Amino acid sequence: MTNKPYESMSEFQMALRTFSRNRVALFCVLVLFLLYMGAIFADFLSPYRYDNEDRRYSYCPPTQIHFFDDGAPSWPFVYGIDLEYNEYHKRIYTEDRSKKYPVKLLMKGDEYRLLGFIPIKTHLWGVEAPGRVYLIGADSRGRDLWSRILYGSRVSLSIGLIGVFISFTIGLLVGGISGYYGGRVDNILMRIAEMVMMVPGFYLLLALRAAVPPDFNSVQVYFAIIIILSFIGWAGLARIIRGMCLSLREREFVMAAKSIGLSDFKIIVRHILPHTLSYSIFAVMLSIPGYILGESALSLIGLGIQDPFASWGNMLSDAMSIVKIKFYPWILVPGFFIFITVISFNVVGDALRDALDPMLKSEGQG
Amino acid sequence: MLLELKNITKEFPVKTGIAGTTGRVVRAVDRVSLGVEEGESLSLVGESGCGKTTLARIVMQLIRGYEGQVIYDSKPVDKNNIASYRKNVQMVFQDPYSSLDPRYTIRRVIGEGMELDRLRFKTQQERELRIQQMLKSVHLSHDMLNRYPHEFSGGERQRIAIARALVLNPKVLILDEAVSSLDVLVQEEILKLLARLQKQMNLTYIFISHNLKVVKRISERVAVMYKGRIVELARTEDIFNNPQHQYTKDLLMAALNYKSVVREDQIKINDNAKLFEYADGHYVLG
Repeated sequence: MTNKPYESMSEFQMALRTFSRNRVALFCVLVLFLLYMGAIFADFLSPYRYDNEDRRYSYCPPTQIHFFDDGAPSWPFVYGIDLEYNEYHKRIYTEDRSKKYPVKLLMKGDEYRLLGFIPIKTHLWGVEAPGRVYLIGADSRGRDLWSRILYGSRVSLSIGLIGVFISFTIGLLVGGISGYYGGRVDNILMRIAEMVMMVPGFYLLLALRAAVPPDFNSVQVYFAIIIILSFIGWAGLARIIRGMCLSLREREFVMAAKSIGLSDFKIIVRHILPHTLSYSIFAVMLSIPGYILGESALSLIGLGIQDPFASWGNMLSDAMSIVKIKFYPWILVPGFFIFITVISFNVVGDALRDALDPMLKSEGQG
Repeated sequence: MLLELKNITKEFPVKTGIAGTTGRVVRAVDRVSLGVEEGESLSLVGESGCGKTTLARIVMQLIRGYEGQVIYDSKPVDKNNIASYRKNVQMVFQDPYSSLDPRYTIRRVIGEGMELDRLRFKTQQERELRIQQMLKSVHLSHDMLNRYPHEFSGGERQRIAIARALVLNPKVLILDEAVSSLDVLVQEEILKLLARLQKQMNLTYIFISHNLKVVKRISERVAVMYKGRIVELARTEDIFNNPQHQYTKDLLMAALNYKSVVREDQIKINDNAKLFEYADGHYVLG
């Protein structure tokens, strides 16, 4: 803390200070930060590309990384993997102790573009081919689950942010316009919002997805899903924002802004919507999980991101059979990541609500 | 006349339940005609709900859809000249706790007033200079510029609101209950400040209040409003010494002694009644 005088803090800064005292929330912020860094640098942090497959290693269990060689400490290494079939034709993987592959840092592997531009081959870690390392196991086509989780987080985590951004822009504008003008405009906009809210979310999701042409490529599907999710999300927010604006527009500083001659749009953007900010901030945090879960649900039932592209949802679609879960429990790991992400967003959202509460109260009284 | 109101009438629809409007209306302001000369202070008094604030908002063009005309400098105010009208007519609001946007620093609050006249204050420096100047003229120190409204007392906030309203050098200032929410000592300060500013800048005040003591001090003429109509309009001393309308009398009695007011039935106003000139410059509704 600097010793700046206390009095020059805005209400927002005070709220931020309250928030920073909540340790659980700060921990969750850290978790989210790490997850997002993981998504940004997915190709660097993962030993393989998301589509690097080797069908010999279908559902290969996690490879053990050894730190001791015959009892003596050594540089971490993995053994080669041997495949046998047992009498029921089940694949049995064993370590082939005759082959040793040291874990290499900054290893050359699959080529990718760092941050989307710089073409390089360096990965943070990995093992030299023909050795293979599966940190948490392999999927049906022998692709590294860990790499795919990192790649999948790009889809799953960004869909939440972009989706929330779009639907909040719509929600804030519709709610702001509706609440500020009132009357007939309000009536029409709110009835539209109610129509969207009326249809159960998941069925609307399916219906809208069905309307997307089947020949879309994966990028198009990705954006289609974002738009579909945003389309469902804006209505609830618009209603709440509208209610807040109805009371805000009667406040005298709005009158004052009008008498200065500011345009309606400027008044809404500068003097009305900022006062719904404290609500919006935690509403954003609390609604991101909805988008992540929505994408996962779509991908899980095969309507979202398509193989070979990875998303946490479509990775989980492999785990829909009890037999597979029993024999290859590691395919559930993407679910664990969804869980962590959703929990973190919820905790952060709740903490923000607590921190912003004084502001909410002072704004709620109209 | 610098600013003139002609037959202003504003009706609000009565809303009921889900069905919406019933066709019934409430007349908040009823055939009000008024005029203020340059440099004059005119007070508008009356009980809560008599239409004072509605009238003020009509004058400020915050409420649309009224009947009648607002005439400034012998030109009716309409969509085309509203910007220049607003440069000349500004308003200070009732509640200093809600008239300043809590998210804005004082610099932004006052500076926003200059948006209306971008041509006059082109550079950042010019604007900053003007803000400092305004702050000085309402007796606030310039180190307050980066602070937020919640750090100020009611009196200080009202000064800030006055500074914002005056930043473009308007000719007319509408003060809607501008001192009502302040305690008496602060009221006194603000009234002194207003008197001084009026002299310095040759301001015209439309002072809206229910506080007769304050009205007596600040204004040259008083208009008494009741149920949306002006029931009496006269020089201040005439209103206080020689009230003619029954409502004015009641109001004065109430201001002097609460107990003496016995209003068993409401004063009835004949809908067709017109203001007549009782004495020179003293108009009574009858």
